[in-house]
Amino acid sequence: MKKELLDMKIRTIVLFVITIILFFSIAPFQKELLAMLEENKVVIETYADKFGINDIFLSQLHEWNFYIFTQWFGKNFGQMLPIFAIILAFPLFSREFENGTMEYLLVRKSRDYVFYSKVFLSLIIGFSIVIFGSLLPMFYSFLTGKDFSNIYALKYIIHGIVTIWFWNNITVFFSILFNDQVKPILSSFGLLGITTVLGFLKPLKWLNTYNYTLGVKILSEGKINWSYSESLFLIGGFILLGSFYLFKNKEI
Amino acid sequence: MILKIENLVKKYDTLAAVDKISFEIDKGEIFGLLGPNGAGKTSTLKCILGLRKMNSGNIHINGTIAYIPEKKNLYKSFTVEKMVDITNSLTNNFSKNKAYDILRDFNLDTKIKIANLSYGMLTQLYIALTLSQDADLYILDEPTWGLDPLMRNKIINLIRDLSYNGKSVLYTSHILAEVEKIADRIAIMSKGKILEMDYLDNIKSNYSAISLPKDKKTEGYLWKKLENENIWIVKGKNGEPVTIDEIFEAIVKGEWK
Repeated sequence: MKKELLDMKIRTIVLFVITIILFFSIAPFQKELLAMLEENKVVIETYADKFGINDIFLSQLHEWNFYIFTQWFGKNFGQMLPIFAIILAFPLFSREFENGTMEYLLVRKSRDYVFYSKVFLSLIIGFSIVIFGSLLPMFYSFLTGKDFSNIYALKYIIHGIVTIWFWNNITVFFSILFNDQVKPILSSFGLLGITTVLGFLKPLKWLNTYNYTLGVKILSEGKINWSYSESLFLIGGFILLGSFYLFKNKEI
Repeated sequence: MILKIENLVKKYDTLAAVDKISFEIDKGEIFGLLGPNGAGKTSTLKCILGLRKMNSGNIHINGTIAYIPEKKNLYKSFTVEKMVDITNSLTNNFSKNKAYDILRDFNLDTKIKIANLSYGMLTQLYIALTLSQDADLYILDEPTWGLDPLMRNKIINLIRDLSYNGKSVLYTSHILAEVEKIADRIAIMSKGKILEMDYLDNIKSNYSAISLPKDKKTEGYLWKKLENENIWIVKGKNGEPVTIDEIFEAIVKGEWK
């Protein structure tokens, strides 16, 4: 575990720093954004309809809860979560295979130990980022005296954690399957891109995990999307089981 | 008995890299596994370690194992000191003090990054980390490859010390002179099979070299083809004494007539 912590130290710090930067690139600038929208009102109204944005949406941005949910959970933070999960997981096994260090590990520790320590650590770090990123608006709102519905952020934690679980486990599978670091990252991002694009087709809407990750249902109905959460959790679990089987039987 | 291999078979698709080999290693014994590249030595070692799955056969291990692989790879971003630390956290019965003693003996700077070590220095570090583990069987795959003769002798002495302390060693090397110095028993492998296995002195005394006219054949290994005659290495003491290098070369050529 100590080695894994050292391995992931830099990546973890970078991801936390990115999260903070992303948050502070939107949270203090609500007024500036609204002023900008006001200045460009005529142009925006011309195109707003085409992109499904209506006047109500634009006017709701004046409200802090709506602003922070759409701009932070629904944009800056939400869209980064699958990417964060992939960045955390892609080198876990593939780097050891590529650098020839898997032998060093496996003659010292069991395959079960190596698998669990790598996967659980990346999941714990991913979950921590979700919790940190979800609590940020709560603390910021408290410190700046803004009225924020904390329940939205708490509900979002479930969506964020399930997203990390799903994409982390998919990337772990590719990381074990391939013996270099390039293929797992390309495969994972490729799959993320393909599912997102195919999800734009109405019958395949369920494929686009971003609808879930960005917390659309939480914002529109105030509810956690439990059925999608359970589906992603189960699929992610099966993929993790497959990864475990693959790793147990992989020849080094 | 520390290790017993019975009819081990390891195939890659249809190719039998290891083909029904059997041997055992006793406590305190240094066993040399010799063979040319592709003989199946590393596949055998990896099956013993569970890194590769055998197709059939049995492997019995009575104790703990420490291992030096053929390709010595460690974590390039760590310093030597950090690597000792990490190995200590991952390895049962590891002595940090012993590791530092060996590294001092090798004159290896512990503050240096592994990425900046030469191949020889990396090998020394790997040896220090492995020999600082208290195990019953040390599996050493080409441990001295890439080292200068002085360092090689140092390592050979360290391996001998293991045997004096009742530890067993399974050792592979291409350098036969080195094997001759330390191994109690050897097995010569070629194309996945063990062609000869015995105490080193027995093997040397069992074979001798004879020369025969080109048109004559005998039961033995054809070693060299000269202009007017062929040199054969045969079982028995009727010919000229031969070295282990010569026996090895003749056996792996595989021209048994």
